[in-house]
Amino acid sequence: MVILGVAMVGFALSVYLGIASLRHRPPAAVMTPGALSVQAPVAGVLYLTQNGGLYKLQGNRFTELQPPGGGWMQPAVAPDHRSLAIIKRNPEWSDLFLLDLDGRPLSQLTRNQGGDLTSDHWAFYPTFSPDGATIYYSLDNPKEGFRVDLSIWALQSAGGSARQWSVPNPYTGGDVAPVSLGGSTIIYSGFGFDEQSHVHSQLYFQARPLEPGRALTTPGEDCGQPALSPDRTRVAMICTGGQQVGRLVVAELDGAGLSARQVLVDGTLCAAPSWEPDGGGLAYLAPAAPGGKFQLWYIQVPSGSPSGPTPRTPIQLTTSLGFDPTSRIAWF
Amino acid sequence: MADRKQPRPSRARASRPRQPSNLSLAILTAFGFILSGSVAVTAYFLPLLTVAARSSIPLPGPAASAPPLPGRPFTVLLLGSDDDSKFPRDKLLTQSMILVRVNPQAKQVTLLSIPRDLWVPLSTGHSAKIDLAYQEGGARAAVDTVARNFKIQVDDYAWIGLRGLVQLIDQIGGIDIVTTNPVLDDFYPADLAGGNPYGYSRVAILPGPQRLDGLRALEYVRSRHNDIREDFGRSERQQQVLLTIKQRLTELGLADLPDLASTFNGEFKTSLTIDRLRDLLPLAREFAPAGVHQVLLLPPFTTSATVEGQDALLPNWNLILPLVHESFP
Repeated sequence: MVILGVAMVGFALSVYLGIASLRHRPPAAVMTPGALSVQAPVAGVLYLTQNGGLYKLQGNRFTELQPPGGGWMQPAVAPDHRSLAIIKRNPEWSDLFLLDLDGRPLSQLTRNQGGDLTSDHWAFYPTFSPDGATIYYSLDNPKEGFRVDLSIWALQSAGGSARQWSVPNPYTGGDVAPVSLGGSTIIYSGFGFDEQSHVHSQLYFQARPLEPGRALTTPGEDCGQPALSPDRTRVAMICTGGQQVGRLVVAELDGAGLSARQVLVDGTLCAAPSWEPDGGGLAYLAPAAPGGKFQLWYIQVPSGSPSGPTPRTPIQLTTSLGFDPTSRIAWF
Repeated sequence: MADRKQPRPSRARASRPRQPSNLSLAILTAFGFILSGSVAVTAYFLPLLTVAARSSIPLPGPAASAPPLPGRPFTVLLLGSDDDSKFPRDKLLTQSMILVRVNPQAKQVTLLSIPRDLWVPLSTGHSAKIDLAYQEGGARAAVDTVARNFKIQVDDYAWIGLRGLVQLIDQIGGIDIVTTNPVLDDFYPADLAGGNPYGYSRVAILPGPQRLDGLRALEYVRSRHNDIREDFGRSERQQQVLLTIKQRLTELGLADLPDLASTFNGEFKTSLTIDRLRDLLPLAREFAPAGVHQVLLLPPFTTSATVEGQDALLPNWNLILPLVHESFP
């Protein structure tokens, strides 16, 4: 009888644990990049952020850089490869800093803590001009009443006063993710509403400060996150078509227009494309499976027309990390 | 000669119970295992049953209808309230009201967001913004007001508070979403952080694919000041997040319900029974994005106006009712 009683208790325990084992298993815990290496070595050096920490990937090893505090995001490498422009995000404002390539602060370029809600400001998406003299970024200035829209601003990287560059559509959230083409010309993502009152993102080309941007993509494509190839002839971007998945798309920059789109990745939550230093491939972030954290991926970019060679299969470089997909990847 | 009597069988020996047969033993053992298994199942689902007993509040009153038959279309009114300390627990407005029509056979879902500022006759006897119905008469009044004005049958309701939404999203591991645009707000209510429930904080949700935890998702669906579409803009974002949550829930099964239920802690009320919820989980997997129809009552379906000193939306029933009857037949 005792044996039978023990068997029944064991059976009950097994049933309980058996049901519990049917639960949906959350994705594996996110690891810290500094403790890991990637599946395959990459050329050059990449800078990525995860949970406000800054990490460098060189070869196949991550190194955690330790700039003071947290909240680091959206690194951009200077053209002379001697410094990083980067955002430090606080709960209610964010500032633009310059760090050296080991993560040590060189200078704080903006001071956006105003002391109250209406005088605090957000700065995001820094990027250097090709000559390194100017940093373009998004800033929520001017603000008025309830209106808080980001517009593109330009700041001398050596310091000085910033100058507004773009005029956003009001009450849309504004203009983000600038990329400098050289001179005073930039492309960026701007937001607007269509006739059905749906919000969408378009890439815009702007040759002079404060002049209206010219659309490079259609509202229906819903494209953003532009990345310019090192030879400045191609643009990689993320297009969602208003859906909850994205496409990694490449198009040739033909003067002030974009050629036919070449889809490299489709049907996944891809983000933050960044060109390989030789222009032969792209790094980007995407979950490995639905519900997963954003991992680092690489895909070769076929040269030639969209009807040319079929793109290679993407290579997943990390498996258990959780990078910030709203933060650009810096790669040189 | 001694009287040598044959020994009589003792009484004890005569009344000794017979050894149980092998069959009886087998039946008893099987019963024991069934009982122990049942205890284990009950223990596992006890948190769900406990929460269900607290949260499942059937619609009282004459309008309560028989539950729709399995496989038949049904309509649920989703209600969301700011349940911070600005309001007494039993006097909440419903900042979010979404009518959901589920057609299991056609594999179609229709979401219709009802603007909280819609000025209508309330079931409680006077005209006001529709978000006041829940404050004055609870779920019954909210359901009746919607049913009478939109001339439809509402089968069930589900109400969730701010913290309930945050906890639900955190429990399912966050939501993967393509945020439509930068959502910036200098006057976002700082009511969940404690302290002054009338205070404000700054919010910035950046655009593009990302994972949002519960608090960030709440900011995304609740912010409205820097959207030219104001309440309509956030209604659209609410529908987007609702569909994303549905997508995440499709990955769950019956065994996940106790964990899910334990997160609500009074932040969820519904007239849906556990049986109905159990049936809905597998159903959610069958709906493709193409089968989802989203409706907002933008102008000309509504018109901005000032009524009794309040900013309100006046319904154009000549346009709304045909639309509703097409989507909610």
